[in-house]
Amino acid sequence: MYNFFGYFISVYVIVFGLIILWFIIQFRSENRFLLKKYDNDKGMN
Amino acid sequence: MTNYFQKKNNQWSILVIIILSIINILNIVYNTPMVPDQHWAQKIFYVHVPSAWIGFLSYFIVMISGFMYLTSRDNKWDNIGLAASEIGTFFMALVLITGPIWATPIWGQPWVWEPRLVTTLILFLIYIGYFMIRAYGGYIERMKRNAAALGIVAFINVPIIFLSVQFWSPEIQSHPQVEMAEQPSEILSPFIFSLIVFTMLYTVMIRYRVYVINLNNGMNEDV
Repeated sequence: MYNFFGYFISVYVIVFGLIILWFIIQFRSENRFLLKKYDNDKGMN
Repeated sequence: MTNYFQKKNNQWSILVIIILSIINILNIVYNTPMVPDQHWAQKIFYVHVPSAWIGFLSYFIVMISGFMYLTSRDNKWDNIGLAASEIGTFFMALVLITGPIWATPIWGQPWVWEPRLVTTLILFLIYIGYFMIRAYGGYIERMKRNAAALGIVAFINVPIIFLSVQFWSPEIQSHPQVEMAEQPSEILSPFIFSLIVFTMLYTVMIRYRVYVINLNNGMNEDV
């Protein structure tokens, strides 16, 4: 007999967990690029 | 020097998406019926199918961006195509992960070599090829042209996946040949709501990803 609830909860954790992880990765990349841009702009002045 | 989510309208959009996603999950848990044979496992349907829809929608945008890039040579379209291909592949990966999890208790095995699964896997692998072209495609303008062309050709597979349950004989099919409109309203309404929430989430994701790609390319456009 399968634990149907276990399959259900694992899918929801994976889907929404990975979507949240995607936003965290984008946020970190964005900050890195902004910092790099800031450093470049400062270097020009 | 501002973060994407420091802008008021972007803050509102993400806040609305978070609230709607919570409502969507609660709606699926409490308001959708338990199907006797599948019990909780049937509720995987409400995220599995919208994930596939977002994947297909995203690949449609890749195709349109490909056409636009080839006709205008505007880098804006290449960036949109790249963002859409990444997010589309992300959601196709979710489909290929959640599908076998759902199939295990229902079919008794995670994978069956049947038309819809195979054509979906082929689409995913085509897009792995797409990213390889982008990474190792050589001269940048040629790489962008090749990626745009592949994005257009790859979309041919999407209607094949959609119609695969009718294309091939019923004996080799594992997916049910039931029209979505034939589902009872207590299943159909939460499904459509989930579809809308996922589509709204997708619009936030693609706008954010295009912004980050533009930032990376040093052409920080106002989003």
